[in-house]
Amino acid sequence: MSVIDTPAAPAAPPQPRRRRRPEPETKERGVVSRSDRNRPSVRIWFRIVQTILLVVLIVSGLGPLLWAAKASVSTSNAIVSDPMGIWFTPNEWGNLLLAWNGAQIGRSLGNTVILAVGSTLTTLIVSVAAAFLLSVLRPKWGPWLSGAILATLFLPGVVSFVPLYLTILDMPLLNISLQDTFWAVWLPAGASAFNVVVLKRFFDSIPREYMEAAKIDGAGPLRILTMVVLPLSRPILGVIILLSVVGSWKEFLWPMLVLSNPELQPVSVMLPKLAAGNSPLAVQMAAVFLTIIIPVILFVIFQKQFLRGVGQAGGVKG
Amino acid sequence: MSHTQTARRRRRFDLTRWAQGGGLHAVLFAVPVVLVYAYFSWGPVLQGLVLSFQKTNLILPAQWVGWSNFEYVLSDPGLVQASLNTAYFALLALLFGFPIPIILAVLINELRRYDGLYNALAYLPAIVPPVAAILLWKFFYTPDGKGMFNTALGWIGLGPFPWLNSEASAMPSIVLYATWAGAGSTAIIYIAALSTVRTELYEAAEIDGAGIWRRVWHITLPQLRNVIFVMMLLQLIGTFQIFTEPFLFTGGGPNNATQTILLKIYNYAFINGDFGAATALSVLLALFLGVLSIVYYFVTRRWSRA
Amino acid sequence: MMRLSRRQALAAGSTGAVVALAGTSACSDPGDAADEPLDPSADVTISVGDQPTEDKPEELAAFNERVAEFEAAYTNITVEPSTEKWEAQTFQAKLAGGTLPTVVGVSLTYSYELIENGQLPNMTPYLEELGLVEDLNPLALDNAKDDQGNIYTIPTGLFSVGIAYNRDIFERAGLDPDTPPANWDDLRAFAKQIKANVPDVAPYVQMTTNNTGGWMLTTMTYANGGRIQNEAGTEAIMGQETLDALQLLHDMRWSDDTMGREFLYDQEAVRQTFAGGTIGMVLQAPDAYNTLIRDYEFDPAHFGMAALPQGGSGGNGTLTGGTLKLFDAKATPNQLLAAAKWIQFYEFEKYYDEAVALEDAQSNAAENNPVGLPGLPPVSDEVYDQYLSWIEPHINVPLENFESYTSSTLPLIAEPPTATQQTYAALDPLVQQILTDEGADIEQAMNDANAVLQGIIDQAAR
Repeated sequence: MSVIDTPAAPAAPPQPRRRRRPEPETKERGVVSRSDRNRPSVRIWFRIVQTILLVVLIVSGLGPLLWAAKASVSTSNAIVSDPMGIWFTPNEWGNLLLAWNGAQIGRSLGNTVILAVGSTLTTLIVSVAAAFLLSVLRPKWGPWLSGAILATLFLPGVVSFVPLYLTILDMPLLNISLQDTFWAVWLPAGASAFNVVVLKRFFDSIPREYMEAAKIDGAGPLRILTMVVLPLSRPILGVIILLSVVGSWKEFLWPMLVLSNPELQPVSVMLPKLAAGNSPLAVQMAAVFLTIIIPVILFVIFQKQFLRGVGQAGGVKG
Repeated sequence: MSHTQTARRRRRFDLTRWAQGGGLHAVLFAVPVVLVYAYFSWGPVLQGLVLSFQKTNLILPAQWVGWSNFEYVLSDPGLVQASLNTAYFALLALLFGFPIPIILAVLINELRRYDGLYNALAYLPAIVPPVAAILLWKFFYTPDGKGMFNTALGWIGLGPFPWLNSEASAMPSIVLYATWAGAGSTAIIYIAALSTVRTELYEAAEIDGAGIWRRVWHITLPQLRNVIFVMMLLQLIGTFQIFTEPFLFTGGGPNNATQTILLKIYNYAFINGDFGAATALSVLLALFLGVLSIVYYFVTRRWSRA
Repeated sequence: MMRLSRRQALAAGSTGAVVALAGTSACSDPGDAADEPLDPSADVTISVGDQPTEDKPEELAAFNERVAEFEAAYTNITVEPSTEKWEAQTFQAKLAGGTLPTVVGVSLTYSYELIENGQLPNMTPYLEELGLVEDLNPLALDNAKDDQGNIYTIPTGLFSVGIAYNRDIFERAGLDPDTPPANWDDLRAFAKQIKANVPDVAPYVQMTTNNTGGWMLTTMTYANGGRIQNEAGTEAIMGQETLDALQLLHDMRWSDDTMGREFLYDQEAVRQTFAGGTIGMVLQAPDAYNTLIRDYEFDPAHFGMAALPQGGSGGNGTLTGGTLKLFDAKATPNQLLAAAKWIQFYEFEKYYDEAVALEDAQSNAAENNPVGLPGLPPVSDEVYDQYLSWIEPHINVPLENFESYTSSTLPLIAEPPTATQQTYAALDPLVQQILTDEGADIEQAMNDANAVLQGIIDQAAR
């Protein structure tokens, strides 16, 4: 579950795309036309704006990262007394080691990954099952289930986080506590009405003929799901995975509540504790840097796929 | 083929082999769905309603206390302030956080070279885990002359500013951070939307003699209208649930200037151990957000049909 | 009578590491627990909190060594150390969730509230079994008892609030480091003098966040002879004394500008900054010394600790605080007994056994950990004096820097009795407002806070 998640909109059913997203080299015109671009005044302004934009983006996008990199190999005193100093001696490599091992940033980063993967899997399994049920199997009681799931769209997760927490402590009927297990984060993540709505709409748009044909060939519902529906839904599944991973990566409040055992805590919970504890500032900053650098490296590698996915996610939300 | 026809045909087909066929399968598919929703969505909502009329510390048996949790929550002077703060945050976020991604998107969309680089740079802050970014920013906001931002502003003769350490500037400081953190990812969504703007319209306008600015104003923005509205509503709904930023930046201070409703719920429940008051306030917030969400749902549904 | 309060107090003894035991056992149903007969020699596993984290390798090693010694002495007890420790922000959630260790150190503030709410196990039989009851400081023990005299917790690190100051800054400002401020007028004058002579330091700072603002406002109110709640804890009664304290802060912030620029300090942040040498004076308990010297390598010679400055004609008193050992209400009798044994072993043995006391003091001194830090003993005065005489050769804390604190005879005053942490939390914004809003109507703000407090008291009393 994402406590801070916003309920989001049903997506538009997929349509044959009028235009592929233009590749840079064949990019079509925007507001500014080719003839505009040939005008000197436009050209100069374009340069200026472009340069300013680049500087702003570098300062705001790369700046904090570089600063954290610098702080992570400085002494606490140097960080405090000269935060903007450009010349510095990177002589405190031990900070990084202390943060990775001592402050256990390595382990908590691993936990973050485990949480993201598990939450995403639950979300996928539950949402696909629900959407397939409502879109393809359509049992008589489907509308009831559909209504009950839709209703939760209007109740943001945040309003029930206190009772949800109590549920985790003592699961009704089962009388077990999920506190301090990864399940406490994984399972509630499954209840995402937004994903059900998005998937159901997508499944609805898949021509029934495909499924009928498979059925005639003797395929059961599970085979129809795995052989027909899921392969056709790859783009939308990709978007859901992306949203889920990013959302889970950013979770703070919920894991903080249900994972009180430091050995299970993700990095988002570990960092503030480090800052509140007695660790020297330099070690804190080294921990911050390690936390930042890993997703950034992943992002740089998978940049293209990532940005395309985010763009599509926007389409889903709109 | 209409849905009713499909359904009817399938029903006749299913009746013969219900047990091995679709009927049983439907139930099997429903089991994980119903379990997860019952435990983690429907159940907690109902339990929240019950709890809001109870006093419990989870160890002694719960007592029914009528409306007294609601009375307590509503008579807390901090609630008005938390609501005003939240509205103030929403307003500031709208003023700063809203136009910047649009401007960013329109500018980047006009680039013919290196736009991938610009995209990536703009998106970078969204990659940084919020908790790490907040810890960094908290340090940047150091209020004396040696603070990072204050040093930088000092070069051009400004400051030093108190940032988080003043009732007046604490909330704007948090919004500034939130804008930094959110602008890139929102801009990417706008850029994707911009690629669907019909270029014929620009050409037509250009032939009519419309300048660049007029084209942006009369064609680009109207075409983005739907996306803009949706992003605005989403932002608004998200705003009412803001927690991590004030929790980590200021703990709601100074003098409650950054206290938000969710922070209040958290404090009631997990610092005071008063789960009744916490759920009572949650119920009130739920009613409010429910209305917003319904508006959002119907507006977007109308569009996606159109 | 004295009641103790608040915040991670570190043990007054030599190590300073707060220890706790914790028992995450397989069987934790209270019903079973009650039925199970007490068997001191049965195999039992307990979890103990407050294990130092791995970024403090020396402390961690020392802690683990003690655990090993304990397990060797009691072969039927298995100890699972945990780094779990008390944090105001999540304590209630963990308590409700039953995820705390079998025993963990928490602020003494919670004692009455938790006893009243039935959230603690009755420890009397186990403490009697171990003969611990008569050893404990009777004043401290009052904090751990209910009306019937049952004992629920073990108070360990106790202290009263005083004022910590940087002796180096005092010297640079031309002040006599051996003459700390005795009253608020002194404090104000000293702060001005520091401001005039020492650049780039905050002459005096005030904690304001994570309930420390209310905690310190309560302390200042006590120093002025006032109270926050009445004795029975049924009414919020802040008055002129609190107003004087707020007025002082307002004047120092806005007229004198002697409080620096940061007004969102909590305990950890203020200690970290103090260790950086940029704070002249701050209200603290002597356990600050542990954190400053051990974790932040502050120069002991620069540390000064004095009695709390007083208002009015003086002699009004100071707030007391400390740590208590909180036991898990769901643990089995065998676990509770084992946990009590651990506390006895880890916290109290040194007071009774000269060899243990010496070894403990030696090893701490060898690692440059503070030995002989002044504080209120968790044991009776006679026992404590004897203990001090044993370890005397190893004392490495510059006791002369604590002269004003240790010679103080200020009355020790208990914390506000009802919903103590909530009370502090509700006062944080009041202090923050005074320090961040120059035009604040102080009296109005205080009356508003009184009303909020009354609401909290009434809600707690339902």
